[in-house]
Amino acid sequence: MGGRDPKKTLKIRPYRRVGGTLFWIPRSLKDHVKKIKHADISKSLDLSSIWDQAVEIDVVNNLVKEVEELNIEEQIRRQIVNINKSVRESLPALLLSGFFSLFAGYLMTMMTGELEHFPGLFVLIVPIIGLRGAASSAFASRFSSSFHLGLVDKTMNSFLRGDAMENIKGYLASAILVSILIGFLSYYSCVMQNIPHMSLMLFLVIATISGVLSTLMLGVSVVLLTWWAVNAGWEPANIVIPLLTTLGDIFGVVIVYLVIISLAGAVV
Amino acid sequence: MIYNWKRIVIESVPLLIVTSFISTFAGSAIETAITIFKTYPGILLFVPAFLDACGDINSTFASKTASTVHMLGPGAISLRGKHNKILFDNIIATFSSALLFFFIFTIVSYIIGSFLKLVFPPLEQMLLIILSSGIVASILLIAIALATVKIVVRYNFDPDNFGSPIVATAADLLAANIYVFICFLVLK
Repeated sequence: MGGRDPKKTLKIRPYRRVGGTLFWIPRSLKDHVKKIKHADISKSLDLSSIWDQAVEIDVVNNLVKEVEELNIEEQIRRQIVNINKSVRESLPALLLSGFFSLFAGYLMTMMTGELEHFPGLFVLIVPIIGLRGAASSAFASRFSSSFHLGLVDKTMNSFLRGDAMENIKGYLASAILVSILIGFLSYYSCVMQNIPHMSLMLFLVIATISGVLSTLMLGVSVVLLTWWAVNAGWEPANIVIPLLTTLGDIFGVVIVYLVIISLAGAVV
Repeated sequence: MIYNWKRIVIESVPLLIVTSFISTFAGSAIETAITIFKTYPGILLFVPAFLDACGDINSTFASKTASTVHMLGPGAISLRGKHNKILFDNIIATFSSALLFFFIFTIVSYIIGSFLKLVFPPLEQMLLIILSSGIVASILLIAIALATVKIVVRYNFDPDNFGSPIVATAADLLAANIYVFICFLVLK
């Protein structure tokens, strides 16, 4: 049964390249699929013909599937992993963010003088900066989802009630709670690794004050930036989240710096 | 209401505690290199930007890998699979962005730091430190991203929810340790 070679019977190339990159499914192939799928095979008494049609449908369907997969692959290579496009789009954002972070780095260089009074300070600073980024990114991401779900609109009032207010309360509670815990975690991390460190009380005071202040400042920034992005007609996730990493660095280090400058007199 | 503040706290606090604790080890790496930072305060200038960039560049890789897996299935992350060209393009794009960024950033920051009268090692040593740390960190983080996506897909979870957060946390820890280690090697 099935003496014919379906590929030869079709007499068409299954797919071809256009301009070296694009693939397309020829119309004749699509028409052929329709024709053989809708043919009233029940009237045919020739079993061989029915078998041939079944094989043809199978071959054509596989070809269509193969072409579709190639199209998706081409789309990914053009849109998502294109080397030129990736470098062109990401480099300006990385450089902008990097140069803002230099300010945080500069403040850290100024803190090296305070390390005599606050040994173990850097063990505390890195998680404080990291927490600001992680907690506020999730906060911003939830705001972005709220906007797409219609839970907030372009009015500032909608950002301060209902689901949005629950989001704000959740962010403040979790970020402040973890800030205090970071004091403990940093102290015990120093003890575990035998790194010279200040007292647990100083770790807790610096972590709590800087945690509360920077959480509040970043919280206000997220609400204002999301509201601004929504009103400007931009996708909040594209604008707010990348900015938060940099803002988190700056707020985190500036506030820790101000706190240790204030405490330096008392410690000495 | 879809959000409840107590639920947000319960779901987010455990992950934040774990990532914060891991970050303390990144802080420890910087603390141990304090002698170098006292001699060359300029090296400390690069730390926040270097850690952020390693996290951002490789989180983007993880996010793109997750998108390709959603579109083409788990075969998209196989080195020998039929879609391996996509994976190689993604890796090359990541390295190209990383190398260009670290090169431009080091030179411009060096100039800015010199205006701020910060003491740096010679520019060629600074470039060697940043570029080699960036490359080593990227190799390890790409491997972590691929392994994470592979494991997560195997257990039918969404790779978007795991790839980027895990890479971002690993970036803090690995990038800080690699940066300090290479500083010691180059400046010993």
